[in-house]
Amino acid sequence: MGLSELLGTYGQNYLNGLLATWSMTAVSFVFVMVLAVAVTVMRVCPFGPLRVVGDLYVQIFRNIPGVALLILIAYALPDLKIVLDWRTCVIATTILLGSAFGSENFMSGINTIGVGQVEAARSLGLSFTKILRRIVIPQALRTTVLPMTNLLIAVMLTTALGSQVPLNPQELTGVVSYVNTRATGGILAFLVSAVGYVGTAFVISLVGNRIDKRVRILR
Amino acid sequence: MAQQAPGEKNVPIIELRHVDKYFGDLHVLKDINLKVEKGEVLVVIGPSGSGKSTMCRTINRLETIDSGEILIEGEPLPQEGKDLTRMRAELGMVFQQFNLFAHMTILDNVTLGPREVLGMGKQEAESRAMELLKRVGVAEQAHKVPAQLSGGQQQRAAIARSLAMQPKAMMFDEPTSALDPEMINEVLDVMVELARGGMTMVVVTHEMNFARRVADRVVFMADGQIVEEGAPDEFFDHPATQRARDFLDSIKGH
Repeated sequence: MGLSELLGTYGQNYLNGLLATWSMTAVSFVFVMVLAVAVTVMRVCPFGPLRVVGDLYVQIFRNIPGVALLILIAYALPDLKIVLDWRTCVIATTILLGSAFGSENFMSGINTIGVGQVEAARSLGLSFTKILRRIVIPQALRTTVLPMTNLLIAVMLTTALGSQVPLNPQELTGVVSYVNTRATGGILAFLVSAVGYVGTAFVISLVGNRIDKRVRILR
Repeated sequence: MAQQAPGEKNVPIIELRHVDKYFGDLHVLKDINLKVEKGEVLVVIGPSGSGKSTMCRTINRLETIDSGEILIEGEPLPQEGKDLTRMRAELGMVFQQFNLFAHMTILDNVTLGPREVLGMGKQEAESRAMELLKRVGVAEQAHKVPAQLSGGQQQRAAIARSLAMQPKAMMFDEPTSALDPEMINEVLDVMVELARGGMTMVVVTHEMNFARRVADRVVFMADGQIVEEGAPDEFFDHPATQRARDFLDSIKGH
């Protein structure tokens, strides 16, 4: 099957797949960032048990293969009477994995903030929450734009787990298996989806670099 | 807050009673007793490692203590929580490394405390901040970020940030030790002006001329103890202890 035939037959599937990948990536990343911040706040808070929970969260979800986690969520959770649709399973997996890595990025951002700034904030009478909100989190976010850009790309690639989902996979890699179970697209079928991933990643890193230059903190 | 009847003896702004502190096995503060009266400028000197910075930092509980008592206007320094943050808001602190918030403009550095802690409106906080920045001579830098300022300018901005909280007393923890020599005086000048304006100050410093000119009282620390204290002229011209004489000799001629 040549390229023109492949695109002629399955072009619309690819386009839909790309859009699905984008939307799953966007939804996942929003939750990844929110959870990463929340978990990191737990990990630096003065309350010991919360710090343990935060560290455990990262250790667990950073160290589970995506597919294994997806299987757990898709096939083990129903035993607890929690049945999620396939798309939600994939997004949940992506969020759990991504937020663990995101929290690690975030911790390294926090470590760049001198303890002196926190002491200065404490001396002004700022509470722990206010120090986090006004001093720590803004600086940690602004110093981790590039790693977070990488994370966004990783999150996008993780949504390819969707191809492991039965029935009618929607996203980009899923389209490839869809094509290859019906015709012999072979490597070419993969290459077309690769163009979608690479192109998107290219744009993401371009934007990431721009943002980084604008918000980088002078030291 | 301690109310005092007219004619009654003033309650010291800061009082340390039998304060002890250890870093592991190291006994860094040994039975420290100290009073700072309202409007007094207390200069703490001593060799490095003598505990003077640590003592300064215990006063707003950036360092905890192992035993003894610290009283602010006669009230025990709270250990944690809202009471502690409230007390900290009333005590200014200026650090050796300035510690300005790196991601904020100088103006935002100065308005942060008043807005977040005192609940002041943006306009009022900014106009007061500009006044303070003018007073310390860095008003033109208000919209820059700290890294764009010289060390001396940063430290003056840090003093303004502290002043914006209208503190009852200010602690200076070696405020000129990280500065290039030509910038030391611009910071000291601001501190002299503050002292003349009646600010209660605890200054940990190696600037002996400043101590002589401005201090009401000099405290000499060594090995975690207050070895000697007295009026500056008395202390510098007739140190009572050998330890102080050795220290003064060692810094002479530099």
